Amino acid sequence: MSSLQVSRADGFGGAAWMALGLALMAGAWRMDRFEQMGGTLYTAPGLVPGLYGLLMLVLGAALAWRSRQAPPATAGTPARPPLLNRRVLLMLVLTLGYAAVAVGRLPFVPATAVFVALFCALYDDRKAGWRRWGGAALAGMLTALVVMLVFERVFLVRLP
Amino acid sequence: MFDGLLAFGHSIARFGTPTVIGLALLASLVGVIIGALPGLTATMGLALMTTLTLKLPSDQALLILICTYVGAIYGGSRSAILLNIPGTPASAASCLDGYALARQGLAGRAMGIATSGSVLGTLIGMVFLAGFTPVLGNLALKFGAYEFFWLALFGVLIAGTLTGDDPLKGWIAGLAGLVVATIGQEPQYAYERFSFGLRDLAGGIQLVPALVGAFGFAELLTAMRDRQAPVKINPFDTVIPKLADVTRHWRTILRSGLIGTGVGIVPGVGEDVAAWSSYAAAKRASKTPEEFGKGSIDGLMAAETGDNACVPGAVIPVLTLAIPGSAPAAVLMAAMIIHGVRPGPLIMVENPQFVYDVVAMMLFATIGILIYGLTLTKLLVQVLRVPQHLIVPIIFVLCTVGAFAISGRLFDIGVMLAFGIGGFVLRHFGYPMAPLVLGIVLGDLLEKNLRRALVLSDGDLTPFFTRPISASIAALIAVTVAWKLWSLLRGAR
Repeated sequence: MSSLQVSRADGFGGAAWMALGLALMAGAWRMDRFEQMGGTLYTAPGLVPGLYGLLMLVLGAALAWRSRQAPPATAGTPARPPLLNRRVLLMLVLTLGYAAVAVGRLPFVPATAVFVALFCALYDDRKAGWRRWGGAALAGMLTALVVMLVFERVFLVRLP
Repeated sequence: MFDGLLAFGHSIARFGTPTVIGLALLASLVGVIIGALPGLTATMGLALMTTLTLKLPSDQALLILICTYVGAIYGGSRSAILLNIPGTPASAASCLDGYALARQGLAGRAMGIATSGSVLGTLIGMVFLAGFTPVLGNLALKFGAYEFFWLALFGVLIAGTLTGDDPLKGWIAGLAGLVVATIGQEPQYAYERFSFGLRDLAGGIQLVPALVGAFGFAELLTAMRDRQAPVKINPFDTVIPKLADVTRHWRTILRSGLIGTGVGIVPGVGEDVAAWSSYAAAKRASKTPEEFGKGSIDGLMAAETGDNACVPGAVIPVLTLAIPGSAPAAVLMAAMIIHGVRPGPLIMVENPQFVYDVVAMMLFATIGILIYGLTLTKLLVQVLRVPQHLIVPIIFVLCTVGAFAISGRLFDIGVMLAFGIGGFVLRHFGYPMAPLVLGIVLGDLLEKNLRRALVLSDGDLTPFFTRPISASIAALIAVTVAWKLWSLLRGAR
């Protein structure tokens, strides 16, 4: 990401933080003040979130203002990698599929074994064919069994 | 003095059983491996180990966590020296001279220097932990709501100022953490804030799932975005530290130990700042500053002594003020609370022995890193060769199980995922994670004490600026903010 992209991203970021600040202030204003129970301004549940909202608004504005003052991009500015690429997207699909969908709905050991095996096989570009899938399946089974044994049997921690 | 020594001896005797020593050695090894693997940090390791040790007796669980913490900070030096990749952010300064020494065929000597520096740094920090904690604990008894409010604010602010490249983004990250801490029932009327009718949110966001997400899942996503470069490890000579390397650099060791401990005591700063500060001080004091960055033994010794001395230093404010000195110390504090220990000003009144127990745990951890530093180099080299595509899914499974284990709720897995993806995006745009964590940890303390102070003074703000300790911390905050704002404005022009 060039310095121009950074300043543009900071501009959007500043606007987002300002919006969050405003939302916090609005939410804080609408909170109960417990006046019927003798509550004052200093005991109001919305006092602190409201102050945070105000600070967020100020800091977001400062970030947005600074992004407008940033010098234009110069040739040779080192580029940052993009936020998302194929590897990250694939990882998001695999991890969300495992943690948000499979865990808690499927038995832990098979779900974990399949997740680890799929992950290893899809990212391992050094081997091909049955060696890649065989190794990945073994890694999946071993991981699932060892995690189950260590957490449930050794440390007595309940698994999902 | 003698009471302290007696209490320390009592702690050593209590922990000196084969089971406990075995656990300490195992946990130190786990810590060293976590630290050595690039992408896995001490904070992440501690968060995962907290969930693993939930059902253990509190003293054993905390021993494991402290050994993991010390081991991880030390372990980072291995990949810094051998691969030029810091295993943890704390080891970034060690890359400069450690890798330069490795390229000269002196990787073994560099690892020996890292071992001796880390061991001596931890020992110096331990002396201060044992000696300074009772003093600071007694001073903290004089703190009221005003002082605690400023201290909590100072912790978040200083973490935002020093832990990233951009203080403005650091402050925003810290503020975001404070906002997260307001979710759920507030302390006075149990009024639900920002829970949107979700029963799971009414109890607030739990720290450990949030940490596992921000430091675990987010780091895994960052690590996987780029294809892993092939691991090329330089050949190494003997790793036994030379006595001359220690005796010749005693001034650097002492100075870095003091700086590291001092940086650790400052709320929210952490081991990476300790390493860089010690390195910079050693360079300034050196007669041959031109050698720094080209394989200077002085430089490597300073960085390694500084970051490990910071570990006991960071535990001092945890014990006396319930304010963590670094991000891993924040996890340690959360674990102490989970295990029924109440850190804070009353610790020297209610549970003084615990302070010396922590010192004894640090000693066991130091012995552990000394043993592994001298013996396990070849195994650690093999660990560094384990491919990324095998480590990442295993760590992710541990993140998922860890998030669930604290309360047995699937909701916490969702929290981990949300903080992981959020942390990945924020990190990409240059927002540091340490202030976010400090914000979540200190949010409750800050809010309670601000509201308590305002009720006590009936809305009068004068006591915030007139009580001596309160005024000193307020002045420190004002100077920090003014200095950074001036730098920002100058940079923008």
